[in-house]
Amino acid sequence: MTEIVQQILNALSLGSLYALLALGLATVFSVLGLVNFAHGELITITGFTMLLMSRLGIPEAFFIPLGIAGATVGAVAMERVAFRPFRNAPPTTLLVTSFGLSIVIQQVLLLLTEPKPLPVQTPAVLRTRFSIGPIDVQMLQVLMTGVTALALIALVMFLRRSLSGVAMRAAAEKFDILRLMGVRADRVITWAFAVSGFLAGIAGVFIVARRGAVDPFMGFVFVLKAFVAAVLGGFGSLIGAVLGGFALGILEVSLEVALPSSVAGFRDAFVFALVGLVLIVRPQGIFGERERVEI
Amino acid sequence: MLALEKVSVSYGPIRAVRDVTFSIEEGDVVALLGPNGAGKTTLLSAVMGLVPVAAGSVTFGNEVITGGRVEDIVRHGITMVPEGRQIFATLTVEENLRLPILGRSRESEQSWGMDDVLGLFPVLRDRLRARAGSLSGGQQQQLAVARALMSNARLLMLDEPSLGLAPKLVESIFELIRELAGSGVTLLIVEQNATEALAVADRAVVLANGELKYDGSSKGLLDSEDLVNSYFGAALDRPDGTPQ
Repeated sequence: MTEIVQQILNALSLGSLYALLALGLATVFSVLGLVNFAHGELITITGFTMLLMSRLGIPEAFFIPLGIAGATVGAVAMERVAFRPFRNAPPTTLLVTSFGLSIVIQQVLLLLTEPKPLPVQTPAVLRTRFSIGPIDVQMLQVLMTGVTALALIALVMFLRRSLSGVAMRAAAEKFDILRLMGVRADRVITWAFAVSGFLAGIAGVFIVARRGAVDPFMGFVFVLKAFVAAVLGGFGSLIGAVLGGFALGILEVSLEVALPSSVAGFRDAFVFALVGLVLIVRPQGIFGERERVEI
Repeated sequence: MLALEKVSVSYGPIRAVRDVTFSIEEGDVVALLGPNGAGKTTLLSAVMGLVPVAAGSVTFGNEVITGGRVEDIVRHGITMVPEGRQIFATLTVEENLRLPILGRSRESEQSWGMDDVLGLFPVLRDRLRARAGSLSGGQQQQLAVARALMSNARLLMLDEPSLGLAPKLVESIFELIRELAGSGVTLLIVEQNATEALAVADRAVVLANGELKYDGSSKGLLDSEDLVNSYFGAALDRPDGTPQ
């Protein structure tokens, strides 16, 4: 029983991480039609911002907000510098731009720092553990799940209550028509990138707390997983991205438990194979709508 | 108010609109008519900045708006209700109506508020919390016009407002256009239903093959047998109900 609860906590916390990242990818995709593969670098930027803060001797309490702010500003800067000049280019150009941007950020960080992981001090609260009866609970796992839930509620409130959020939903439906309302396209796109950066920043803090170190290439695996989660949920669907993230987290933890140790190293291969099977049955993802082609 | 001077629009090597010149004064209700493929929607799109103007100029008030961004043109006071209504189906009626507030320029005087448009379209007041996609076709058209007015439109361009609507709803849409005209909004209406459009418009502009063929009073167009036979044929009824 203890083991089951422990694994549920693992699945929820890992799923939260993927949900945050997949939601960020889906937010930008729903507005701009862009799969931003440089999204992983926002995690890296969060980590290096936290590293910089600790080297500058800034108090620990500021690491988390400044790390998240770093990712948010980084996302907005990505849009302004790299994507805006190609706004009207074909989707493939934007996709290649995102790969290029990812490589540029990795290489710049490599030049400025070191290829080996650099230890980052994280606030003590993230490293504490406590017990509920026989169950050993990491504070980080609780925070990952709880903060993700709060972030999702805040995002829903933003999308429903604020006019900028409503504009983002409208842009996801009919971008050109929104411009006919006099709403500036740049403003909506900037909001979408800011939201995706903010979510990546939260995920980045948790990833850094789990690893305890940063390196220039740390974002790659996570953006890949986030992409798989978003595809699994149905690309473009925000709810789908969240549920896809949790589904992927549960799948990974379940396989980790179920697979014999001799093949445990192939966990990700099993995960991707299973996701592939799901997509054969539902190419539009679990929650995506099938595109209708009228002849 | 709006002046087009030798406006041409091209799609690649194809010239869709050629040297079109006409103007609209404040308070006018103008019907832009012509057969399919005449370039009517292209011309509206060019005025809005949705497609580039290849040659000529578009002036609104005292400002040249040729080549301007859509958002800036809307902020000048021109709004378009596109063909097919194009409401945001997943948003509520209220959210659809509030969106243009985000697009208003800070210095613009507020001429249309939520209460004003709901007064003009009372059916929307009862459906404010409903998803816009759940409205009937006629209600969606009302929402599309109401939303456009919320942009503080001084000139409202309606592209095929009756397209796809049942005959009874078409009547109500033209009744609505009459009300709008009565409230002093300047209107430019692109419409296949030339009979109805000419019944509400003071002036008519006829395009064919991208070229201007007529610019004058609606009555003058109806009186010109040549024009009517060439461009409308049986699609146009005379005011006394006699088909051509």
